Amino acid sequence: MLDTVPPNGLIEVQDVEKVYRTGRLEYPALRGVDLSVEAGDFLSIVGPSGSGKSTILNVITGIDRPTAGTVRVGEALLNDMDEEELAVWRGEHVGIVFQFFQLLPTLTALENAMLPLDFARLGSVTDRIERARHNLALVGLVDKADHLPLELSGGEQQRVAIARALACDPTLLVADEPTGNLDTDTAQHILELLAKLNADGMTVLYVTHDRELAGYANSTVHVKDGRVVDGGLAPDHGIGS
Amino acid sequence: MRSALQRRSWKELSRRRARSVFTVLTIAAAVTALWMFAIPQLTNRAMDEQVEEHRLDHVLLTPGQFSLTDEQVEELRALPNVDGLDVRSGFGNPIAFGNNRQDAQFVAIRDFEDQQVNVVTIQDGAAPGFGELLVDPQNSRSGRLAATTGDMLTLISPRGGSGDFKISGVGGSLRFSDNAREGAPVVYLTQETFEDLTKSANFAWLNFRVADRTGDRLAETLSAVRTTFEGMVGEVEYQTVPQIRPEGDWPGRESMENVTTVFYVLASLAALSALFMVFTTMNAVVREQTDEIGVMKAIGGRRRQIAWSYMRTAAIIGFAGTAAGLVVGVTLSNLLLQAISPSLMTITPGWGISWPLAALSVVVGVGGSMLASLPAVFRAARVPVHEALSDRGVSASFGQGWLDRTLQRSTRLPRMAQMGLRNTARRKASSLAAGLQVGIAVGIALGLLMLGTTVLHAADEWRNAIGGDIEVNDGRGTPGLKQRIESVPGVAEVEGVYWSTAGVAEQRPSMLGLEATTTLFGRDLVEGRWFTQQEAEDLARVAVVGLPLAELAGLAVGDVVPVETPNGPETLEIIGIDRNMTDDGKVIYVPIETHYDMDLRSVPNWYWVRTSDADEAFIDEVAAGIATSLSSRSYEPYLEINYIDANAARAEERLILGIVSILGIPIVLIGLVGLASTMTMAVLDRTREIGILRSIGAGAKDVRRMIRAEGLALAAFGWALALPLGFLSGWAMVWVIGRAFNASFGLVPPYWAVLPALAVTLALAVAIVHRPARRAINLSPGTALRYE
Repeated sequence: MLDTVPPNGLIEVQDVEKVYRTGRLEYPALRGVDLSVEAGDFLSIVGPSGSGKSTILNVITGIDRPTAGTVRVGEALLNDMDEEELAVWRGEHVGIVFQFFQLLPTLTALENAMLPLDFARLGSVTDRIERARHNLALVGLVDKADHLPLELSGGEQQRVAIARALACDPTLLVADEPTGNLDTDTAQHILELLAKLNADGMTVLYVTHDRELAGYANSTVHVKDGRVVDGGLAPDHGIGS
Repeated sequence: MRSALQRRSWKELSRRRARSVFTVLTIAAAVTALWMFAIPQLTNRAMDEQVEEHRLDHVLLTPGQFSLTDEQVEELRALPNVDGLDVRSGFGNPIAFGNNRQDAQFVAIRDFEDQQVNVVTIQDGAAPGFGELLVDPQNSRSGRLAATTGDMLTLISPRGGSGDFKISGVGGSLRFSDNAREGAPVVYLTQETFEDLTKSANFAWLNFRVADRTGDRLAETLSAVRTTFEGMVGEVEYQTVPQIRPEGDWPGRESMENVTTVFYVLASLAALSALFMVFTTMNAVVREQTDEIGVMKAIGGRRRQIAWSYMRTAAIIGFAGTAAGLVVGVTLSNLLLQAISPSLMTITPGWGISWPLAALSVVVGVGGSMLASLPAVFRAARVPVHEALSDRGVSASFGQGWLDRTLQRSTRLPRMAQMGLRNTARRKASSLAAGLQVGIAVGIALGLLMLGTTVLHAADEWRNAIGGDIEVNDGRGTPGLKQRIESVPGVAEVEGVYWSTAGVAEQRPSMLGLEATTTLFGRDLVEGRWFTQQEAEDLARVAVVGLPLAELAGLAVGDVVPVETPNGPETLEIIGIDRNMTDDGKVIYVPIETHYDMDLRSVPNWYWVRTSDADEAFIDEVAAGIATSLSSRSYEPYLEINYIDANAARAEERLILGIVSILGIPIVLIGLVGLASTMTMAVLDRTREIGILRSIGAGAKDVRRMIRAEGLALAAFGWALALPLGFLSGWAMVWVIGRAFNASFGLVPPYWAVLPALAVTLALAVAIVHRPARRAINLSPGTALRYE
């Protein structure tokens, strides 16, 4: 367990536990996790199904609240924020890519891509459209801006999801099994895209169960049974429990 | 021990708790609506008991003034097949109670202890002794006279002066209480008091009951009574034809049946509306579980087994809804009956349950639910397994149709409003069903308003048909009365009318003899013509009939019909049909000269008086002047002031329409439940999507706006459907009422209500979506994303 925050630390997860309660049953998804991520990192989180890797992402993004422990991202201590504050914070600082794309089916690719800007009320509508187009161009889909998700392939939908995640120019991009529903070639393209974003300075975290896909990242954290078992990182990265 | 399939049927209830609750509520509303059919049954049952308890007459004879000894009365009672006979006397007289002065009807009872027909029962206090009075309970219920036991009532003598009489109690009879409901207050007194007041021992009515009225027995008994009676009193000039009460009829029944016709219409609409909603709800439930049905088929489930599993769930929901509906329906129908019976009947019936209707409720509630789910279940069971199992990811139902493309152009709206609007097109069937339910609910409400405005407008028109402000009823007709009335200050116009009754084609209408050039009767001919002055002078046997009478008796212009009059048969040619509802439209209008000739009369027995000012206080003054003037000459006519009757009638009509509107509430509720169910399920279905929105920065306000926009869009769509539906339902209800009254109504659409209806519908939609929206917002994104 770390006693101090590394000088460039963007994310600090300290002794986090997460227990899910369903009726009379309790399921400990995380059993005391410590994790530090520096700004600019490209980190993959690997583990078998049910190991808690997605839960780690959820507590980092505030989608789930830890049962114990603290989570700090940048200057935000997530434990102190209520749901409304978390939603606003996410919109402005975090981009999230889901396994099943989760695009809004009634919005076009452009509209999906500018949705976080609408929530954050950043700039005029024209500015938002321009920014969304820029992000779609970044992911190579500006020619499909007016298409509904129904009219896009799986890979295209995931790229639109990435464009959406980039809407507010976040400091952190997280992706939960971003290639889980894609074929090998498409998966490779998506991860190359994430790598490119990281190369441009964005901190990127992604979860995968595939060790080969995990290798695209600069560093990997292994999770098993709700614990981080192996950092696989350079010694100056702070990890472990 | 239950199989897994059977357990699944039960667990389905708690899986979608909100939907189960809404479906149960809807079925309960449908069953409750069915119980409106119980009101007529409960009423008839109560009235049948009352008819026997009060020994309502079968025949009423009006032979004018006559005298019989006690022995002669007993001789008439002993005639074969006579099961009770009474002779009664009565008179009309002004009374005063507090500051209120009006004319009342007095009915003398020979012996309160020995009443065989139209029994007057004591409800409070005691039977009157000599110099005391008994007031009918309907007097206070109708608002005409509030006097009760212990009060003093002043009788104003026709010869001047007055006398105070103590009220010994409150009591009434079905026969006379109906008069108090529709006409003047009714007061009972002993025969001794009557003779002391009037200085006359004559009777005016003879009523009797028969033991056996099958076949010709009643006619034979009537003939025997008349023959024996005429043998006792000598020559008789009957004032009306014999009034024979049809089997099963009772005073106020016609009014009750007319109102209950509307009950039937509304109950049917409510039940249909609810069943429609059950159908769409069960459809939605099954459609959402297409993938589960696919799984069951994949692991060996047969279509029939799968179908039975859903039908079992539907049956359980049906039982729950039926039970709730029975409790509410029985309570509501009895409460409504208690509320309307004083206005429409003369009794307050006790509580009752209609067992046949209870059985029907179970059939409709349980059977209806099961049947409603069948189409969707069979449809889903036919979907190929692979297709059913591939229900994942992006919705495949938006973007392909013209509606979706149209909604995509709604870019000028705020983003969340756009999303809410577009969401209505994602489940088109559900949205259409919700819109229809709202449309039916709001449409019925508008239809009821149209019924109300049409009927009230028509009723006012018909009341104004008789243009006089005061009516003077003179009984048998007094020479010189018209001139006397004309001489009273404030009287602008007087028209004499001759009234009697007649018999035509088994109907017993009134017969009015009017001036050919009448100015105080507002003719409203729908066919034919009025009689001419020449025909009047020629004593021509021509007649104009009321539209309801024409339809009941099958009369048409040009017909030459036999008519029974108090003085024998006549033949009249029908030359016109009039739409006015004088005497409910069951009336024959003839030239007054012709009427005199038929009835061997020469003077009117009814006068319509128009005052020179329509102010109510002025009319009261003129009426008092007429009463005083006539009293000073020992005339004893009976005055009616039309604005008082009109106000009382309007109050009753408004009460009835108010009650009818209340009956529309189940339908409106069903529509709102439908909208609530659709919105709740729409939000629940998008829980994961809402989780995503919250994950990418949507605030609570954003989510609320989206949900509200969807609710408002559905409500507005429903309102748009409500306009044609409302007009159609209103037209249908007016038509049904018209058939019931045999009347013709001119529609009066409530255009003023269109925009307020939109405002109310939208406001209700906002209220309805509040709870599901709050639930969605309060879920943490993590929980929402894991929602299935």
